[in-house]
Amino acid sequence: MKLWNRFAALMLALTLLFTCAAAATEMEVVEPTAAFYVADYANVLSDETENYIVSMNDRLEELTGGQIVVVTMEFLGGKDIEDYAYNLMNQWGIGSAEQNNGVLLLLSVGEADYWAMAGSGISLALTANLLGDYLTQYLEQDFAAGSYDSGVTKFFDATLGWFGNFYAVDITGTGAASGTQGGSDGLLDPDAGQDDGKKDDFAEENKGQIQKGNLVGKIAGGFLIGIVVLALVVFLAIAIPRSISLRKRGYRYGVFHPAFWSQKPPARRPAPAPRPASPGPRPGGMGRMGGGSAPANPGVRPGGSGRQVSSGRTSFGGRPTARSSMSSRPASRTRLGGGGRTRGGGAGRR
Amino acid sequence: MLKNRKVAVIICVIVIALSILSGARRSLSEVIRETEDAFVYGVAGDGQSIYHDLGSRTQLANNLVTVAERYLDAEDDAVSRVRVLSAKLQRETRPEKCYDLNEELSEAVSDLNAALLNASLTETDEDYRKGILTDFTSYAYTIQHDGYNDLVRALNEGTLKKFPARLLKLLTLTGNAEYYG
Repeated sequence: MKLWNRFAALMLALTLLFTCAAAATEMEVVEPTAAFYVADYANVLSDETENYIVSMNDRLEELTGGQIVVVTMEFLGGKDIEDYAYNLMNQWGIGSAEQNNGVLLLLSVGEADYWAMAGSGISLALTANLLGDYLTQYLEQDFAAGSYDSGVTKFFDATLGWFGNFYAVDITGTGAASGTQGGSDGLLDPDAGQDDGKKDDFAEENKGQIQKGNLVGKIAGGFLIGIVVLALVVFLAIAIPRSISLRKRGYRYGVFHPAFWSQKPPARRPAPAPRPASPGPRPGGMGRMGGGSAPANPGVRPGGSGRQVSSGRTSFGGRPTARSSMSSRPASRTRLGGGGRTRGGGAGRR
Repeated sequence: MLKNRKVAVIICVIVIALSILSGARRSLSEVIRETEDAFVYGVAGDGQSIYHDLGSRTQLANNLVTVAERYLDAEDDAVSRVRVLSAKLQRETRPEKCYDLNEELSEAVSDLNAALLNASLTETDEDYRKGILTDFTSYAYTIQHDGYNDLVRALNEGTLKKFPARLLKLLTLTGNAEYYG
């Protein structure tokens, strides 16, 4: 028992060690706030700006699933700003999981730097170049002057406008969205028509899907089957000739009898003794015994209660009741990331 | 000799052993190929891959050459170096080779950009230059975060180093999956 307890304690310690070690490999980033869409850790944004960002994001998420998150910090502890933004965006899950359409604006006030990054679902449309242009046009001047409210609001509005155009929805409620995306700049779009004839079509579903099954099982399974077949062949190669040889000498036992594998077969059976003379007619037996009487009929089973009439759904299955409108949500709800991911990249201070 | 049982057993054992080795080599090669497919088709199989990003980078480099040719000679060293490396990178599919070419291309683009900073670009071309550089750098970050090398590491340092894969790899002289970098 003592030995078992020690073993269990050792296993627990190793498990905890492994878990801690595994967790330590991911970069530590700040935690999201209850409002989620804005985390003003540097304390440079007014309540008005924060409320505006939150209310617009509620509408944005309702209409498109997208989220535009603004995070301000004093310093990043020597970490690369793009790396920090990448880890923050993926750990917080900004944007919807299905569309990966989040945007993060990270301000490092003490380091006089900023970075904007888009989710992997929209990064080909909201390119690093476009984000860079927004940052230069709407944020840079105010950021340099220390007017963070103004700069963040202008950048936020520009990005919100982009979402409205991209998804052809009216997010701000001021008018109809144009539904058109940005025009070409005359140069080759690096993400258009990537097929140069020597690669397969990435848009094909189920093509190049990596099977991450049990690789060890695949290899080990084949190996074990081979070994088993080999062992069987060797066994039969030894057993069959021996069996034939022993049968010729009158051996009765099968291959799996221990005596089969002994040095020599047992001696021949002695000749059976002659049968005795016939004993005569058989004496009379007792008559057949009578059985007991069959059990009496148990009678009618008592009746149960009648079947309840079900309320609500019809036999054809009715539609579920409609969900309550999103606009009736209480203002103080906890907001969370949608599970969106990014591949990194983005744009920073030029 | 062929009617001898012992010889028959020996031949049988040899045939089985060879078929095991042949099957093992095929399985290992398939597993390695499936992992290396992530370089082209992406870790999630959705096309968002290092190879796709490198393709975008070569396009951007060519765009920068288009802008540069308005101010520099077409045969200028900086211009032709970017052009040649872009073409080579577009043709290459092996991860290790792609990494080397990409590093050289980054250096060549940086040199070309430095040459353009000394040229008097129009406002439009200056915007193009900045925009191209921003996207070019952004893809470098994206490639850096890609999970392809983690996948290869898990295979090479994990699965292929365990029994019986390790033994079979040794017997069949199968190599490892190729890293990017």
